[in-house]
Amino acid sequence: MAIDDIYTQGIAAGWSVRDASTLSADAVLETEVAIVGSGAGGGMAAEILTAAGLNVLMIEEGALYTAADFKDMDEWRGFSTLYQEGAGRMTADGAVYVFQGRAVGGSTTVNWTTSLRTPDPTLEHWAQAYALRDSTPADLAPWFARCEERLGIAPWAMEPNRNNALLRDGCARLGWSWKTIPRNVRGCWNLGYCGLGCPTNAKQSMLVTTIPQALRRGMTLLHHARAEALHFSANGVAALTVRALGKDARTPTGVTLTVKARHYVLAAGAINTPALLLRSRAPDPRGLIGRRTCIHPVNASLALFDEPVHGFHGAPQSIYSDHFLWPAQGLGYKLEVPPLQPVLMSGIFGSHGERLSLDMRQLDHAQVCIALMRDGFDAATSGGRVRIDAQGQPLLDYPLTEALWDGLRRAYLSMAEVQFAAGARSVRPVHLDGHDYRSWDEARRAIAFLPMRAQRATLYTAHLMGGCPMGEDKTRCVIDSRGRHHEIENLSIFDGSMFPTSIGANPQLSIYAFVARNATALADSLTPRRSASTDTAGVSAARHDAGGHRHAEA
Amino acid sequence: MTPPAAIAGFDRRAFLKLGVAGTWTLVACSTAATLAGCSTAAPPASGYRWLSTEDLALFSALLPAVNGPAWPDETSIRDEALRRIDAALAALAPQAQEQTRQLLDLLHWPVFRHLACGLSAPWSRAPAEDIARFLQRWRDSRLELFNAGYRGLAKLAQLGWWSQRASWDACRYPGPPAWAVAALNG
Ligand SMILES: Cc1cc2nc3c(=O)[nH]c(=O)nc-3n(C[C@H](O)[C@H](O)[C@H](O)COP(=O)(O)OP(=O)(O)OC[C@H]3O[C@@H](n4cnc5c(N)ncnc54)[C@H](O)[C@@H]3O)c2cc1C
Ligand code: SF4
Repeated sequence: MAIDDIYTQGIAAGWSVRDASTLSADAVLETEVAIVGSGAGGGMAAEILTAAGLNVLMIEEGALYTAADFKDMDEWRGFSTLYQEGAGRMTADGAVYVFQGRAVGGSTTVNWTTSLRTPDPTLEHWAQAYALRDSTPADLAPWFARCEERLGIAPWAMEPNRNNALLRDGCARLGWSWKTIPRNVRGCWNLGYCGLGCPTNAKQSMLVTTIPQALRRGMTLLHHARAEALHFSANGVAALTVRALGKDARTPTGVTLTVKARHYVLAAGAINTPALLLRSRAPDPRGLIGRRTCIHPVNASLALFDEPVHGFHGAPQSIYSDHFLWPAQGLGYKLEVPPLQPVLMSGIFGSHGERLSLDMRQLDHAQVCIALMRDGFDAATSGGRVRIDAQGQPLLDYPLTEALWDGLRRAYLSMAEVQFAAGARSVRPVHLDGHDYRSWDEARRAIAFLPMRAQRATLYTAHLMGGCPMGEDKTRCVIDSRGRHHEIENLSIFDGSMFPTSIGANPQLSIYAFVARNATALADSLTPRRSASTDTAGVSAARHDAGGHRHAEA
Repeated sequence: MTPPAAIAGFDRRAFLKLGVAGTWTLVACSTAATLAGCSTAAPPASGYRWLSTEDLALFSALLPAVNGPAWPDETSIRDEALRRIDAALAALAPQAQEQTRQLLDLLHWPVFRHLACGLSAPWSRAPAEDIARFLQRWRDSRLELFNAGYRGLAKLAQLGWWSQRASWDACRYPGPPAWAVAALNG
């Protein structure tokens, strides 16, 4: 059964999809709203702004790949084409591996489909510490519901794969709370390759939902195009410079585009959005941009089971435990599992030579737990800082504090305990000093003495949050509660960089809901007359027929 | 010539000898290498975007050492692994590329190779046991810098092999479900 890749037909039907690598001359592009980035925030914003009849140009540095490209379910292809820095991004000191998407659809093209609402205590903390307005659980409930409906989000109804089931069984045996994960899928084949691009279009990523819908309403999508700098005048952002990238989606071709818009939306993701603002020397009287970048630092624990686990197949995440998320004291963490395909696993084993060969032969019997630290809620874990290098490229400094190491050690313990409770034959903390412990007792004694140091512990993040915090407290926040920049009238920030701390849950649904709410408010403010129209589809169709974007050769 | 016995306690002392005590950074070390006139700054080898001829020799030696007996040592697989390592490095951000360049330059510099890696022969001729010992030392070192070097080199060599289909038998990975592959490509 061939899968309709959506874009082939759409482009044939006249969608405005442009590949900047093919442009040969500089140009000025005019539009009502320019959106930088096509991930969770950019995609959701595009659908809502085009529904209001606005003329939208979406700018994405990565390439356009579709289900047709994902059919091989191949790790090398996925990592090298769909991720920032070919999946080799790291914090500046190299201590944490950073996973982010870089293609049309952004990280939603490669994410693992876990879709959780922002926890209530997190919303309460933001209201209290950052004066975030109108964002109580009750305020946001309709927006969560709307996004869940839009993206097919529902608890996973099939039996979890064994990698997840073992987390569930271990929790059940210990009396720890656990839950089934809601996923943003429709007609999922339960294959397990969400991280490499979904080959069936089941995953309701921005690539297959909001972006096609916005294109139907006349949006222009410009890919292979990197937003370089915003230019400011007395009235706010006056223009945006965009560099065309070559076929490799990395090397600039020399063609420069100047985008002129009424309003600019930044949705390049945490790390890249703050970096773009820093590169542009955006007004930042209190030096807030890029600070307090939170990452849910992740550590991992590897268990071997007598029975096969086959963690490389099946929906990657379907069970989680928040049993340790809100402890009375110290840093809290969430327990989940990752998909276990060979490249990721070769790093998790942490060995080399004969040992690695032996380890890899047990891939099908491996089960891996991960713990995500809820960073940013107090001074002991106040996040990292995005800065730019001499070429203006982003760097993330992320200090590993004592409080963080304490949480990581407790997480190694929890993970080992739950894995033994599930029947593990042995458990190895993913740490250079970790060994295969044979019992919970042995593991507990050894983990108590693991040196908690950078480069000894293997650390990851796939959740980048903060750097442009949202709230009414101007001494701490870059944007207001509707995502509008406090100093710059025609600039909004609609992506993971808006969060004042980490979320304490996988970020995508938090991004969708806040952006749905804030983009709706933006659409209302940009279209005071048009918002009365009940026939938005008709309005946008008419605008599209009238010529869409005006292009002028420079 | 440093006698083998001295190399055993190699890392701290080696760095002291290089005159960079206090600043344990690759940048400083690499400056030492440059001052000593031993830095390479070699252009990419022909057909590669990033790896120099010397780097190719280094990774050719690391691939079997990192991946162990599962590594098949066939020319076509080695060439593909090197091509993938090359692409992975070319995709990194400028600072990460620079730091990797500095690390590799140090590894090519005979004094460093000798003192910090314990290798008397160049990478292309180094005995497998010596390379294995080098990896283990850098892994076990108390210096974060060496741990980071170990991780970086191992990760690239692992990527070069375990991302290839030819490795699937060695890790009992069946690949994507056959029914799905057939359905999607039918
Ligand atoms: C492997 C992986 C698994 C994940 N699993 C989950 C999960 O199961 N559940 C969950 O909730 N979250 C998950 N996440 C995280 C989630 O996908 C992200 O938090 C979310 O997509 C972030 O949205 P965003 O809009 O901030 O940025 P992104 O979705 O990352 O999109 C940003 C886009 O902007 C583009 N861009 C960057 N800079 C520029 C520039 N200068 N010019 C033009 N374009 C630019 C990027 O290429 C990218 O496409 C996962 C992430 C990864 C990487
Ligand atoms: S598990 Fe489902 S959503 Fe994920 S890649 Fe497979 S079909 Fe797509």
